[in-house]
Amino acid sequence: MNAYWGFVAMVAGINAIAAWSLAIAIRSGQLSIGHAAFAGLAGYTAGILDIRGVPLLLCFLAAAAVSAAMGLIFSVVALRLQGLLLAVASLAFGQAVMIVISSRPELGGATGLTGVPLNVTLPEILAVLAVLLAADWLLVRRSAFNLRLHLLENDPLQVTLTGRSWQAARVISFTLSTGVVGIAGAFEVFTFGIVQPSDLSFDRSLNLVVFAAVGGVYSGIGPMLGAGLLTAVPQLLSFTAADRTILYSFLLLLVMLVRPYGLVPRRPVRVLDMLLGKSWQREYKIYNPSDVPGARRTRAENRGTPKTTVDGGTER
Amino acid sequence: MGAEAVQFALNGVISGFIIALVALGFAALWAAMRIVNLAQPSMLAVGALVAQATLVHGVFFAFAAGILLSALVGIVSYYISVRPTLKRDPLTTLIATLGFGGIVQGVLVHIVGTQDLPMSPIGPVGYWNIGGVIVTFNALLVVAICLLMLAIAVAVLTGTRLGLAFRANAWAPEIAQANGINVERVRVLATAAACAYTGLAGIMVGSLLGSVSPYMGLDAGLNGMVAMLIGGAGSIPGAVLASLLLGLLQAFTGAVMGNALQDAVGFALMVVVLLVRPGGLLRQM
Repeated sequence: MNAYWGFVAMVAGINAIAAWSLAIAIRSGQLSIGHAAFAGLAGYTAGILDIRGVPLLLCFLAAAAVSAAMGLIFSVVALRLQGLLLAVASLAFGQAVMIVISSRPELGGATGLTGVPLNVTLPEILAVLAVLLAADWLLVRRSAFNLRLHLLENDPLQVTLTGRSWQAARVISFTLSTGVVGIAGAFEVFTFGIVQPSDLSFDRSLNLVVFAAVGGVYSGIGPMLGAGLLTAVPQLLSFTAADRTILYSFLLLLVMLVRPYGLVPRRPVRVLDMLLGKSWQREYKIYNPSDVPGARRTRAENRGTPKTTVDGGTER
Repeated sequence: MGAEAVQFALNGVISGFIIALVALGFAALWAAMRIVNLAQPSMLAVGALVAQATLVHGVFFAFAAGILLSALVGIVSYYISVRPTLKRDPLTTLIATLGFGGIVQGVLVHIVGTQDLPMSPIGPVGYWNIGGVIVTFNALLVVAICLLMLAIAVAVLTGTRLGLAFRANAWAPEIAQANGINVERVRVLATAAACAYTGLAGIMVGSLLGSVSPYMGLDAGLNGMVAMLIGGAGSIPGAVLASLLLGLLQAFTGAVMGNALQDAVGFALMVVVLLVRPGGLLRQM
């Protein structure tokens, strides 16, 4: 029983890594419904290399590199697409990758790649999660890059107004996102010992979107919590696959209707604000998405007192 | 060889017409609201499963039931997932419709299970053999119905006040509203029509394949979406043209390179078209 829950925790952790990476893409206005395909590609890479006797760390690096390279290619090809059409294109891309992989007999065809040694443990997954969380809080959230992500989501032209290229910002964020999801894919193959074409499918990508959207993409912890909860709760209730589809779909619809920004609100780092004091708070606030001039506001924010001053800065 | 090529072309045209029905639905919703309704692939399964279940009462009843029920579920999807999220991000609408589609699919799985159910052809059994090319009556009926539905769509769009309202709304919703067009009504009717067409496409797919299942909507739905993108988002002639192109291309790839790769062709074609003509083949925004 304990081993079982340890395994569930590993799956939840892997899903959390993947959901965080997808959240980075969604934050920049690039909803991808093909992230499982990137993860799966990385899984195949890591699995094949490991069977050939390549050191584990190199397997992870190669997996992330392959996934990031595919992400780079897709992102450059899809630069002309915005929002919805981009999402649909990523969906189509993921399906195409899945079909091509399942038609290659040297990759195991529809059965997939089997017999990969199970050589990761829970602490390693948790360590990666901790690194990602710290990176989100300490590096991404406080950076001008994060500001560009939010401007990108709002209107790419606003990035141009900051003197940077929106194309570069978009490609970089998507490549980063697919690189991290590649690490999740490598963890997955080393946890299950198998990677199949169905792991790259639309359903799996959709699950990642659900994790990220339910948790809330505008914080580091949100997508991780979403992934953890939605992986563990169906196990507790011993749901069948069809029940889980209904549960996920219903939650997705509910969250989109009631809390379109997810369960975790946009300012989850109050504890850090208190610990690190005013200087942290000021810098953090400037880059808060709802304070970016012209940023989309929630209805609750509109009802409350406006926090943005005339020059677009924040009240100090 | 000549006969074989004609046979492949014929199969391609038949599947192209079915894709066209789905793509038409996607294009209509894009034109009406600038959204992609991801619940639509589930409507395909709704139409097909309802028709399969009611086929014993006669073909016409099965058609009416399948089409009406998919239109009805489409209207519900509009009120539950599209209308409340339309004012927000388009991505919110996309995810909400995805959720709705998942619920519909899950409910279908609960009702009929996950296995494929057999479905008898809607047309009379039999075929003509024209110089080695086999034309089944069923396929002829499918093509005839598709052509009829496309003709109806064109007639309504170009010849009625409702079609005029739809085109005005697609062109500029605010101006349409200012001129006394009930935009809300246009949107509901567009959703109902799009889902009815998708449901009908589901019946066609079931009739040609001989089996139906709750998961059958995904492939045809993806093809329809890809055709809509290739044709130029929101362009209805573009969607039909791209669907036929896609059907033909898939039939020939399937013949030359095997069935597994034929679905990937559509996506490859989409990437090429987006690179060369990002607005699609016939752009109308």
